Amino acid sequence: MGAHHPRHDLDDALLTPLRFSVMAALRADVEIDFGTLRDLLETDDSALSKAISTLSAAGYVAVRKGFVGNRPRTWLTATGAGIAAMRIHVAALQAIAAGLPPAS
Amino acid sequence: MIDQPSGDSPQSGTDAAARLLQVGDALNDRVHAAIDARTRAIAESCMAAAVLAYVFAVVLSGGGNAGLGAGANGYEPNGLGFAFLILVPFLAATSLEQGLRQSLHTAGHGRSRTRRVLVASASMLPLCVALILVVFWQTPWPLALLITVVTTVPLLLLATQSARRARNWGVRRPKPVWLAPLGGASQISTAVLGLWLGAIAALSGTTLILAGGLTVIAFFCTVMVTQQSRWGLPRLAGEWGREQWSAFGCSYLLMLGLAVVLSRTNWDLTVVGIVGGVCVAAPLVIAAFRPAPIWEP
Repeated sequence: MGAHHPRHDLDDALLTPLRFSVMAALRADVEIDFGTLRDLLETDDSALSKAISTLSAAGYVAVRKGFVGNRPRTWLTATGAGIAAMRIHVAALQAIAAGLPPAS
Repeated sequence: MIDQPSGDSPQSGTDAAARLLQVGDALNDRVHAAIDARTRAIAESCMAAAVLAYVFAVVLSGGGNAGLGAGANGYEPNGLGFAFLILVPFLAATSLEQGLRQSLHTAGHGRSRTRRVLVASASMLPLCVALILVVFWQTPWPLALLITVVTTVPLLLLATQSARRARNWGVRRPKPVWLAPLGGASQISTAVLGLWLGAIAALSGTTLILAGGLTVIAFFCTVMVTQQSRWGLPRLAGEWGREQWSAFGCSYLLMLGLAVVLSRTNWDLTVVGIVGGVCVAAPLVIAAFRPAPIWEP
């Protein structure tokens, strides 16, 4: 069997900087509302919407609609699958950043 | 800081990976800071509520004409016991709040420190006014209450503002998924705190003034000595969940309420004290064995 380069462990759903950032912000024990996440990531509504749709379709992000007072809010959390995928993805990035030789 | 999405081209190469990891770490820090800021806002509004309850208890239990009559057992309180009854839970609350602040990941920035000074000043105003009116001027309680209510307005406004900020915050912890019993030391400390507060409450209604005084002094000394240890109140604050905090809130309010009742009732103070002591102790003793949430470090 050939060498296994860490890039093979990178997750397709997390390959764009924005989707990676969304998952990095949505830690295991946090719930962030859409507007706050948009400001945190310094992006715009449409780009964030697209990123969340992709992550949601992959089963990595759960979307919950709620209200604070009379104002509607969209709350986002990372799912268990999303957290696990992010861990594998981050480990692969760390291996690449460290310049590790391909494991045989 | 974050690039706009640049299509689906895979990031590759060492530099790109390192840059992405840095972005992830920076975001993690900002999310931590946002959660901490919300926790500070909640702590601020709860402490403001605790100060308000404390001030009203001081006025109602110590104002002129307090102790409308001796209890049925003939024991006429001198007010000292009630002062301790009010002071002890307040000391515990302050110590717990300090622990909660220490348990946060990030230090408050300049604006949050300024606000803290503002809230502390707003808290001191009604406290000082209440003490002057009650201790030095022996003002009749309705007048003392009226004046004190006016001085609480700045604190009320700040507390309401903090509560609204916390409610509208866009980053929060969801309902906890993982719950577990408190650690052994925290279980014991929580139960002992409840029993100790209950004992002080029970003794304050009896004629056992020396025993009551010694219990209070021992409490103060223990809080000071254990401040930095794993048995101390600040350590508890980092481990408690919602149930434990609610239980402490109940015990705190019951103790203040008991001070007011004891100073104004004609009932048998021993019975009132003992029943009150049991009620004060029960929430914390039960909460000591209830689970608390486990969060990711």
